[in-house]
Amino acid sequence: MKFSLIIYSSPQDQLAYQTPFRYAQTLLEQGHELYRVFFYGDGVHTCADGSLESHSAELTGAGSQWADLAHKHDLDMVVCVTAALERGIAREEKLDHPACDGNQQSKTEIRGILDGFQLSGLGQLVDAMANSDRTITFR
Amino acid sequence: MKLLLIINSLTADTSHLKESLDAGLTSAVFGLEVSLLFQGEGVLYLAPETDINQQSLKDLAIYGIENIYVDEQALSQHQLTATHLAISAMPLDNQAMGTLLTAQDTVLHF
Repeated sequence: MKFSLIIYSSPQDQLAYQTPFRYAQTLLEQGHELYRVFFYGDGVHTCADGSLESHSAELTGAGSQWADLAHKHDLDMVVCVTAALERGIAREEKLDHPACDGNQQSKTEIRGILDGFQLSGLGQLVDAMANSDRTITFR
Repeated sequence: MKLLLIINSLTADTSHLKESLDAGLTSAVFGLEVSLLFQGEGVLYLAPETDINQQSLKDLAIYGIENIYVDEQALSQHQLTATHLAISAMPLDNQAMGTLLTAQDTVLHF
């Protein structure tokens, strides 16, 4: 069966964050497919890499655990960009690079999130619901 | 595809209501048939006099979300009446909520 998980709970709540992680581990062990894990609401804290001041580095333990699972099973882990920016988890930064012809080129980069997570919009949540047999919310 | 969003908690954080409803609004934009059910403390988001920013509730009609339901038992527990809410919502008893849930393809809790 194909599952998607929506994680709304902050990793500061140990029980609330362990439950979806164990659920994901178990369903993969049992041979089910995990189509997408979507981090929304306070769940976006999970992906913080600890480089920004607005959150503590100790929270990243949860994110690393998810990142390892994603690496092992090639999971698609999406973080709601609006929720992440609003909570100061991620930050958009304009980087100016001198181009070969001497003119400045601007490029926007988002920093603050761990490798293995990608920032995207709520369209990915709708896509997950449409393409999964079961969508489970954890909050 | 039929989607039901259940809002059954209330937080001081104003982003909770907005983010819950944003999920519904986006789903409606993508053509899903979206319904909303307020239960438990979530019914307090519908209170006529509140400090909560209810703009996102008023946006629901713009996005064509008209199937809005509320647990009648929760309303009375919080001294609210269906005729005096911030937006129009149909009160449902336990049996009607059961029927609503079984008619959905996906249910999201917020």
